[in-house]
Amino acid sequence: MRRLVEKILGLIFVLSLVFLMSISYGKETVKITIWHYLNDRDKLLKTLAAQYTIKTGVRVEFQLYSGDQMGAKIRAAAQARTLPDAWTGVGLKGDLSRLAQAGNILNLTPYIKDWVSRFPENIVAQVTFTKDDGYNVEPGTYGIPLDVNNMQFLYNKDLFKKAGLDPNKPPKTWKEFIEYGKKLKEAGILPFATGFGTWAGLTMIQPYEFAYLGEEKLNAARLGKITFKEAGYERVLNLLVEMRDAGMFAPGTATMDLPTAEQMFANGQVAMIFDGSWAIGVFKMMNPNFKNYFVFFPPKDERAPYQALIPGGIGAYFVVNKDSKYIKETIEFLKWLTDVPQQAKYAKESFNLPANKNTIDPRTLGPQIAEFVKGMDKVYSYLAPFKNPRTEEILAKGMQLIILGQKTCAEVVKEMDETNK
Amino acid sequence: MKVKLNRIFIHLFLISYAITCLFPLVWMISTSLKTTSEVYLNRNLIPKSLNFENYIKAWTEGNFSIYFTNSIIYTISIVVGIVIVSTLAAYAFAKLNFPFKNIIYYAFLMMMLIPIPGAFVPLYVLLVKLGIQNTRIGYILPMINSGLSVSIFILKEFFEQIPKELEESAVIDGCNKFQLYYKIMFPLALPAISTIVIFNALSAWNEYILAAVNFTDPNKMPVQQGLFIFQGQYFTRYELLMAATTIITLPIIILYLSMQRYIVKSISGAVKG
Amino acid sequence: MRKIGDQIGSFLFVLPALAFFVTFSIYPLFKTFQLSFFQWDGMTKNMTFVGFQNYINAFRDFIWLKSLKNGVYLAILALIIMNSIAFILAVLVNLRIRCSKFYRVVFYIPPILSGIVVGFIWKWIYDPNYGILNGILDILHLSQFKRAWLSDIHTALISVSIASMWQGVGGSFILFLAGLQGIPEELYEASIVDGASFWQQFFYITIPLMSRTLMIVSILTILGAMQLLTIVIPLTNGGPGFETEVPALRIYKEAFSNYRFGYATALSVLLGIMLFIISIIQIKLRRTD
Repeated sequence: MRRLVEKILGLIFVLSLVFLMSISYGKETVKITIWHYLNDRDKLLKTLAAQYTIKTGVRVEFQLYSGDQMGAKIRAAAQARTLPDAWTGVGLKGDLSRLAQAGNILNLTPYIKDWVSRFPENIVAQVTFTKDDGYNVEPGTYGIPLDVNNMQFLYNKDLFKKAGLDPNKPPKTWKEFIEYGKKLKEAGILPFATGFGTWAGLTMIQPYEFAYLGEEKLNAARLGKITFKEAGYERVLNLLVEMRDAGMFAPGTATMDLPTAEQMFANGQVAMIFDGSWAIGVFKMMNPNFKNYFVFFPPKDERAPYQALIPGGIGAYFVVNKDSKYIKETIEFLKWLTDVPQQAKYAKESFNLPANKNTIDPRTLGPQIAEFVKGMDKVYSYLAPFKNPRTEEILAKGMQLIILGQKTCAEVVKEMDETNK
Repeated sequence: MKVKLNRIFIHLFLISYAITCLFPLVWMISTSLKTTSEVYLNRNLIPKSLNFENYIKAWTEGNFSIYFTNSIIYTISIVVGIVIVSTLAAYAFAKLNFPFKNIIYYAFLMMMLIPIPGAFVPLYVLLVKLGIQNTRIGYILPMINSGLSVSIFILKEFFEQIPKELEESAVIDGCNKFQLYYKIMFPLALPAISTIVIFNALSAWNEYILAAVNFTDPNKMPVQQGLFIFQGQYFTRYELLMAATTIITLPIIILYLSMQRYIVKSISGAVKG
Repeated sequence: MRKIGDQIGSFLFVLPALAFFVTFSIYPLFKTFQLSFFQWDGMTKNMTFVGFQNYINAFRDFIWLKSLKNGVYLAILALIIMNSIAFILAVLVNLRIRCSKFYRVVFYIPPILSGIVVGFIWKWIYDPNYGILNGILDILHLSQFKRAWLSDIHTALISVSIASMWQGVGGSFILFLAGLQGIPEELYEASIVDGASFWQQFFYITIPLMSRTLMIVSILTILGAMQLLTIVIPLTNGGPGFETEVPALRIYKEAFSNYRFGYATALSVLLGIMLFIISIIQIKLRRTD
């Protein structure tokens, strides 16, 4: 009797062992593929991925492609349905909405609702679509933020001193801004530059678009519900005229790209620039000795009735492939990646502001970054798309021509209204 | 006296133009020897110190041992493929007769003339359908195709100007079409063939969009991929980028050096014969 | 009977090229034609059939028309200036003067350089504050001619043109060099016996026998100018305003930045047709010579 019991127990033991072994063999090693274009952080991401593998056994492969390659790759893979498990999103709501409409990316809302609060609301809003936002996408959140940024003015303290200005008192009002510009010019210093040849130019006037028009009217104009003329957009463009007439633009600013302006700023060749928080890292690389500069919020224009809101928000973010085999595991990984310890390491090594709002400690990040962080709550959360995407081009080119004195604000506004039908 | 003056002017002209051509190379190499901060601060041509280690850094960080091998494989296969296919076709268009000859020729010309935006998208979908995406052959074949139009166009014209008498005497000697092709046409068109070798090698070597779209295995990527690691989202390390670019430019220069003598190779021997 | 077999034999020579073409070109070409009749953003599934609307819009599109104008301007400049320089260089180098091998190599360096390098260098040359061009003007006491070359609407296009021509000379150069090889030595020798001067040789032997090569180079030059893309983006990206917009850049922007893929393909077809007509004219013109 006893031998029978032993035999049965032995059999049960062996069977359980076989069963357990088959479970672990049946479980294939999970491998997640993520495409990204964050060149300077490739090593960092791979290091974090390796950490994760040791912790959980899930393999994560980051593949680096350049920015324009990324766009092409995503398009082609979308058509052929060979997209990776996740990738870093290219562009913002405009581009994101196309991917969402095409059914390529996953609506993340049900998966992240428990921990999405770790990110500031206005940040998540930038990758979230709502019912009436004009984008025609099923409402929900489609991206997981990795880092954030915002754009403000920066100034060179030494050059301010040279022009007789107080290096610890950057301009607070628009009037002061223009006055400072004139003083700098008199002292033989180029007052201001930024990348008007590219998207950066558009961002510089955004705080003033909000200040003059207010969020509602601005978005209504962009959506074509009212004309830019009715919204009073001319007054915004007129600020460029005021800057131009004060001689504030360094020569070549009209078609300058942002890196060139940054180069000039880091070399002490221009006193002020409009740039993003990522510029801290850029300046450090361009000129490690360049330290005596600081940040200031867009100077308040007394004539504008509303609060100025600055461009900024999400830096890099991840989207997840709707047809991925490993949706759960991918999102788990991204959750871990945006946890405080990983975000702290990320921010420290890449000079980008972390998305996880619990990580932001001014004491470890340096004075300029800390100052940028202060502006995060003034970042605008919603900017409607233009009814006709071409209007943006018209505006950008129009700004260039205004700076060159080749077009008037009224002409540009007229063209914008004609295009935005 | 007049002849001497002419010679001096000729050389002056040539040298000044040569300087403008060499200048970028000098600038590239000079930048590649600078340190990071020097690139942005010291705009002179002469670096303060010779940082040759930038080349080693560029080679390793850019993962060039893998990418270089790949590019060499791709470029050689693509160029060989284009030369064979286009010379055969150009010869036929120039010297032979078959139905629909003109229509087919103009169809090839169309390919050269219409810039297709995002041609890589339907191409990639096709590669997936054929099951050859992310393979080397899946890259080489479309690349061969893309070089055919211009090559056929150039070669046809050069074949056409080979004198008929040569063909006729060869036919009398008993050559068939194919022997005509490789014994006579091919050697005589060597200048033109060398030219298209250079053109196609250059475009294959510099290509990166189709490579990025087609390959998801980083070990199959060509050499241009190595350059991107130095171009950050907000900042570019020019000294390493230029070192890498210099490294990449060398093979093409070497290829050109060996091929350019075929462009001026004397054909008087064959003509007299 | 023999003739048919003969023709099939001939056809076999074209077969490999045809196979490649049918596999890899027909589908994209066909898709391009097809999409030009639709309105499509390039990503989502909704495509609206719009007939010839894209084509009609193209004729009213002032930016497209400006880009065509710029393309023609670039082409004409390239045909006249760039090809003359390339031709002279080829003739001179072919005279087997000293160091011709050196020149042959050096002149082809610009086309070899990547777009990044060329774009960066010329941006630097044209930089209004630190570029060599303005620097040289200063040294020559011609400072009143200093400009912000790439931002000034009067000089932007020609600045882009010079940069692009500089890179293009090498390609035309080696084609001309190859073409010069096709002229038999005996012709020159015979003419010297007849007492011909250098210029007479040039005009009565060299140029006529180079007519075919000249045609090839012209067509490729026009193609190059109208399809110029890689160098414009880093230099000016079409600016200031739309001063340096070129056709290929327009097509690219409409397709990928403005999400008007259908419209972009219509523009491509229009461009292709234009280039086709120009090329055919050039080919026929040469035949009637």
